Amino acid sequence: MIKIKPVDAVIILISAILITFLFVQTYSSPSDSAELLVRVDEESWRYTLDEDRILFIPGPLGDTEIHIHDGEVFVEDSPCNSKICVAAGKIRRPGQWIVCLPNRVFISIEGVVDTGKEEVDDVVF
Amino acid sequence: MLFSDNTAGIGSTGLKTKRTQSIITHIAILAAFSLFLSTVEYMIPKPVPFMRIGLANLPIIIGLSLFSLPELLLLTLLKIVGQGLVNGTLFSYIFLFSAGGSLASMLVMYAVYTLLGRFTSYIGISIAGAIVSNIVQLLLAHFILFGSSIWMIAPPFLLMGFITSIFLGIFANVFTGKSRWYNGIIGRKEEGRHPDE
Repeated sequence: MIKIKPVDAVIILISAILITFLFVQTYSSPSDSAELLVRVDEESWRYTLDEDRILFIPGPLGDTEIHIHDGEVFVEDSPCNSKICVAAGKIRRPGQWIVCLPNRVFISIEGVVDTGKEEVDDVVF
Repeated sequence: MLFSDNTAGIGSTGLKTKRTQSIITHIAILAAFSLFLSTVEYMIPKPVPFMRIGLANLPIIIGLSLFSLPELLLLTLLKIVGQGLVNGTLFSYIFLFSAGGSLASMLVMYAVYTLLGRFTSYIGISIAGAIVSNIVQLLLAHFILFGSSIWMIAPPFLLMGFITSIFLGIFANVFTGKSRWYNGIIGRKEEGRHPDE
């Protein structure tokens, strides 16, 4: 009763390929090196941390100047009044972020958090 | 009204009502079968609520060779409502996924059956239906509720549907080959839309 006809074989093949492709696509390890994600409202950009560069991200108030230098990211200048983003300093590890609310710029580093390499938080007893 | 177009060739009003009545009986039997299978499936534990085996689709697969498209549509609607009742999801968003998936899968299975019926057995039909049903459910889940993160569960979801649909297809092959009830109907049918040959 398990007679496989030609179109059966085609359908099985297509489905198997589709599922395999989805598996690979979904679960292949995400790029292990951390990436910089910059978001303004609905728009977002990704940059590698490996090469140094200066970014001018347009927000409602003007351009936020973001520097990538030696794998670290910081806001050099911002058109906002508070400059909290500039004061936030440098970020380098996945999960860290800087945000400039007045200019609606959200800067974060994405990637797999390597627990072995993770630094201990500063704690004072 | 729903069934009249299919019987135009027979002519006599007496035959017409007779066929309509027997069609209604067959739909009712298959819908009841589907309700029963929904209950069986409800008793089988599953890791995630929407990872279904799809047993309740079996009557639709069997119905492909017995009914016209509007009749199949009726059977599918009955199946969806029955399944919603049994699972207690009749008035939840899961019902929407279930309805979308079932309708899409029925349409695709009908298309495969009518267009490629000669070259395919119920295994291929069942797989095509399952994959389409799952994809439609994922799309609905994407746009209605969960957003793009739903695609993280897509691969196992589709794989599960793929595997169970193969068994359903094999079962449908065996059933249509052996069931006296089914072959009785097929034998009596005069349009001669045969499932296997």
